[in-house]
Parts: sequence; structure tokens; C-alpha cells
Amino acid sequence: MNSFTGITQASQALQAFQDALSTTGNNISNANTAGYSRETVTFGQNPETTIYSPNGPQYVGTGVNVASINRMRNMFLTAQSFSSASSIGQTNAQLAGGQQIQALFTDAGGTGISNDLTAFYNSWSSLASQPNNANLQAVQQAGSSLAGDVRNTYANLQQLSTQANGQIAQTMQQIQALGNQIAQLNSQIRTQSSGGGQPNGLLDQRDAAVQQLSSLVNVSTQTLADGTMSVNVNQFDLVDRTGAHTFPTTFNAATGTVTANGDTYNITGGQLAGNFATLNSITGAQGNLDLLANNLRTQVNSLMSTGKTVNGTTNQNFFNTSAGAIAFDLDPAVLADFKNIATGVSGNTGDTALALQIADTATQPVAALGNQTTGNFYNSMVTGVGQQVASATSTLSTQQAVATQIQNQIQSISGVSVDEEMSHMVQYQRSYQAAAETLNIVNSTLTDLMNILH
Amino acid sequence: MRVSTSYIYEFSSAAIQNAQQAEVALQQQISTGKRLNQPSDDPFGMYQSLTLTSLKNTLNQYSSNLTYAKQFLSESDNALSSINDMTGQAYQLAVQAANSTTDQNARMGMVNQVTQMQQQLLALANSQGANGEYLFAGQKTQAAPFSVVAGALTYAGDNNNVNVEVGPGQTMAVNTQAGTMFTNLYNQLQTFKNDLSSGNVSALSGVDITNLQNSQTAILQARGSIGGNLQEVTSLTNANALRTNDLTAQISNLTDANIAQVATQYQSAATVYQAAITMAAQASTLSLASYLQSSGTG
Repeated sequence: MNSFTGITQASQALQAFQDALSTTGNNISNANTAGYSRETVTFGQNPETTIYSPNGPQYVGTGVNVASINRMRNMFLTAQSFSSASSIGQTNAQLAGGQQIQALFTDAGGTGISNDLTAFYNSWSSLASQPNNANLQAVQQAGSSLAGDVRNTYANLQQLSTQANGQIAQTMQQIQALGNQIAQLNSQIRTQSSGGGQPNGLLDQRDAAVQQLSSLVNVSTQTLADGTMSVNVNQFDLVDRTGAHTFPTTFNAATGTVTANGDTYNITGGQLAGNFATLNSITGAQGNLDLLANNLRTQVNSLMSTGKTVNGTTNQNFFNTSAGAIAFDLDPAVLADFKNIATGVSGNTGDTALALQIADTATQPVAALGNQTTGNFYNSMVTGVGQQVASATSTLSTQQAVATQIQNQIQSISGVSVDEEMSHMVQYQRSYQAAAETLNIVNSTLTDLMNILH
Repeated sequence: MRVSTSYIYEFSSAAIQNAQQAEVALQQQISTGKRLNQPSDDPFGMYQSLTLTSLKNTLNQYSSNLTYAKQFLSESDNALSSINDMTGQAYQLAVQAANSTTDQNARMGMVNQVTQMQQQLLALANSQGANGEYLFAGQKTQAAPFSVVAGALTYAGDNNNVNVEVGPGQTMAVNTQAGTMFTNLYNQLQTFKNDLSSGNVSALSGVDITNLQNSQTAILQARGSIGGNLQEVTSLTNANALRTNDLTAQISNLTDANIAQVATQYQSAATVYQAAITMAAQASTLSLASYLQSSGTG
């Protein structure tokens, strides 16, 4: 204990309160920074010194220090937040994809393939009942409309498929970029925390990067002793002590996996999983259209080819014989001339037995279509697409409510309350004033002392 | 719970968002008049509505087919009616010719009338419908079925039915099988003519009168059958109309928005939105900063 202890004490207090004010100021500045965790200051007492007293050594404190600057963050809530981001990322991507697919089926508006199918079968009924040129042409046109709409919907789905593949590639690029970012932050954090302190800003940045990554793909993280956060995607090590690894770009949407070096990893969450699901839905819808086209061919061609037209042509198909929906159309001869449509086997104008049979296939269940009529098969498909969107919408709503709850809890712990910080500022400011006043008084006592010795 | 500054703003921002979304969804229903604007609005309802619409369109097709059936039947009946009248006249002539008070000159005069009747029969037997289809040719509707070969009427049509689809898997034969009936009648008239020329009174009063009577009976039977079919057509058409009205109502229930109800819901959604933005504006004016006086020295 010496004459200048008082000055040292006061100036240390000034420094401590100055640091506290800085921290508070930093909190206020970052009140709107996404992912910012507020910092609090913990003061500590400096070690005491002893003074002589007749009653034994007495202890006098030597002032205050800043023991730690704490980052207010709950690890458990942070992990929940990552997991919730994955769920929402997945559902969002599925919903967006589902809505795009749904928009291609215009049946809610009264036009579309459902209407075309009914109109097609009805045109055959009309022809079967009143066999004239007008009705032959009507059958030709109804068939052409139906085939055209099936073909166009398939082509639109193909476009969506290309987009979905592009989306997947983009998502993977973003995953890689974030992995690299996290690896960089890891090395900075390792350097800075080797001295013992916590680089709060960097930690916040890393958490924000992992949050973003979680929305893209399901991750699990582990913080190691040296400050590294290792990130893996279902056993694929994206980031570890050595840095970031290359995320596999070979994928199989049907099984929801990515492959690298012969190893397969499951993708179970995040936007990437949603993108895979969308791609699967598109492929499924295309497959259904293929089934529809092929079975229409079988239904109609097998009957009409046994007939004879009024001009004597036999063995004439109504639809062309390519495979699937992609090039589904009328047979070129029928497209060119509606008189190539046969209504019966005899070639007589009034013989419409085949036309009647074809009209009646509207109500015949087809084994390959799950024992449904072509109309019901298509209607089921459209309903299924709608069901996916409806259920994704509802799931998203629930997941968002959960995410909001988690965010509120995180905010409650880590969020900056400007009012609270301002009251801290008043507190530290007053303390600073008091410490400054202390310094002032100590200074005048020293001055007095100096004057005595003068 | 500790309340952070951003929580306040995010909370009111979320409330505004939700209120807006609810408003917009209702707006869409009002402006389109439909509650089913995409399949996801009501997937199961969508399926039902598609099925019912298909059914309704098919019923319309059957009604259209029934119209054609009625046309074909009526046109056939008209032809038969004329032939029936003509046969009746021939019968009167035969009765007169068979009477002993009629002289041979008068009988010779009747021969021309009967020839004309034969020509009339040929023309009527080859009657055509609105599409040019021959009504009494079976399924060979593309060519005239009757012709005169060596003084006898020959039939070149077939004996198949002209079918019209009047219901699901249900057909009605709308043509009259008249091959035998008309050829017989023509030949009977020929025989009648010969007997007139030769003055064969016993044949006239015996076979000829009986033959003509039989032909008339056959024609009346055919007309009766057509009458029955026409009644069936009317009955089916009426049933279709009732069913179609029913389906229209069902479809409307599924797809149309209940405007009164939606308008009310929209009002309350608009009110909620109003409250959300008012609250957001007020909350943002409160802050400790506005109450702290800047403290200088001392």
C-alpha cells in the first residue's frame, strides 16, 4: 500500500467503467444485427493488500477489474434453432416446388386434361349415335386437344425438372460456400481463443453461418476443445479440424442421398431434401402422364384398328404408337384426314359398333391404372398434387410457430433491449463520474500532501 | 420473460403479415367467386367436383344424342304415315274394283293410279334424314336401299340396327326394319295391278284385299313401335334434365364461394389488420431514450 494506491484504484475503476460503457455501446450499436448475442460485463475485485494494524493485518481492496465479458447465448436453444431451420428449409422448398407443379394442372378453372378426357369420350358417343362428317371431325379435334394437353403438360414438367436440377446444383454450391466460411471462422477463432478469451463477434458470425447452412441441409455440430466447430451431414464431415471438405455433388433424388468416393450419405432435412422431394414429385407426375398416354393408346387403338373406314382403310390406329406422353399425338393419317377414323368393322356409315365400344371405355377400369378409369386416374393424380401442397402448407405453419417460439426464447436471452442497455449506460456513467470524483479527491489530498512538504 | 427490442418489432411485424395473408386469401375468393381456385384449396372437394362435372357433361351428351334419336324416329314415322295413307287408298280402290257393279273400263283407269302409288312407295322407302342418311337401309345408310329390278322391288340394305347411345352403356335402335315390309307391299301392288288389268274379280276380292290389309297392319305396328321409342326418348330427356339440375347445384356447392359468408369474414380480417398496424405504430413510440434527460456534468 503506497501513496499512489488511491490514484491507481481510481484510474482502474475509470478504465473498468469505460470498458463497460464500450460494451454497452456495442450492444446498442448491434441491436439490429441479426444473430448478435448481447454481451454483459462481470466485474471482479482486484487482490487485496495488507496494512498494519494493532489488531493484526487488515486487508484493503485494490480496486476493480473486468473479470469477463460474457456472451449471452444458450447452446441448447441454438441447437434447437438449427434443427428448426432445417425443417422449415425442407418444407419451404417442398411447398414452393409443389405449388409450381400444381400450377401446371389447370383443372380447377374448368379446362384441362380432365375436361379433355370427358369431351373425348363424349365425342365418340356423339359419333356412335350420329355418324356424319361433323362428328368425325369433332372426334379428331377432341383427340388432338387431349393429346396436345397431355404433351404440353409433360413438356412443362420437363422444364420444371431442369429448373429443379439447377436448384439442387445451386443449393450444393451454397452449402460448399458456407462450409468454407465456417472453416475460415474456425481457424480465426482458434487463434484468438488460444489466449484464453472468447472472440464473441466471430462466434456470432459462425453461429449465423451454421444457421444458414442448417436451412440448406441437415447438420449436426460439435464444438471441440480448441474452439473448432465440426459440422457434419449424416456422417459426411463437411468441416473438421483440418478445414472444409468438398461436398458431394453426385446425387440420387429418389433415394435422397449424395455419393462421394463410393460412400453414400442420406440427406434428411433442409432445402436440399426439399429439392430432392420436388424432383421426385415432378418425375412421378411425368410417369403418371406416360401411363395415361400409353393406356389411352391401348384402349382406343386396339378397338379402332379392327375396324374399316368408309373409304375401306383397315388396321388404322387412332393414336400414334410412340412411347409415353412426350410425343403423344394422333396417328398421322387421322391427323391428316378425319375420314380415316373407323366406326365399325363393315365400313357402312351406320355401323358404329366400335365407336360405341370406344365411348364406353370411359367407364372401364384399367388394371395398369390401379383399377381406375382413365378419368379417375387423372383426377386422383391432380388431387394428390393438391394434397401435397395443402399438407406442406399446414406443416409449414406449425413449424413456423415452433420456430417463432424458439426465436422468442433466444431473443429473451441473447437479444438486446435498448431500454435495458440505456439504463446500464446511466449506471456506468454515474459510476464513472463517481470514480472520476474519487480521483479528483485523491489528487487534492496528494496536492495537500505536496503543499505540506513544500 | 426478458423482452428484447427486436422482439417487439418482430412480433408486430409478424402480426401484420398474418393479418394480410388472411385478407388476401379471402380477397381471392371474392374476386373469382370460387372457393376452389387451386387443388390445394380443398383436394377432396376438387376430386368430387371433377367427377360430378364429368358426369354432367356426359349427361349433356346423352341429351344431344336423344335429340338426334327423336329426329330419326320422327322422320321415319312421317314416311311411314304417308305410306300408310297410300296403302289405305289402295285398299279403297281394291274394294271398289272387287265390286261387281264396277266395269272393266273403270278398273283399267285404276291401273295408272296404282302405278303412281308404286312410284310414291319407292320414293318414300328411300327417305333420307337431315345428314343425308337413308332411314330404311339398316346400317348401310350411305346408299339408297330400294330399287326396282325386273318389275320387283329389291332391298340392298342390311338388317342391322342403327343404335343411338341414350345412357351409360344403354342404346336404342332408332331405325325401322322395313326391307321385307316394303318389298311385299310393292309386289302386292304389282299383283293388284295385274288383277285389275285382267279383271280377275275373285282375286281382287280375295287375296288382294287381304294382302293390303296385312300390309297396313304391319305398317301400324311399326309406327306403334316408333311411338313407344319416342315416349322413351321424352322420358329419358326429362330425367336427364332433372339430374343435370341436381348436379349443377352439387357442383356449385363445392366450387362456388359463399359470397355473403366470405364478405363477412373479409370484414373481420380487415379489422384485425387495422388493429395490427395501429398497435405497431403505437408500440414504436415508447422508448427510455425519450425520457432520459441528457446528463452533462454533475
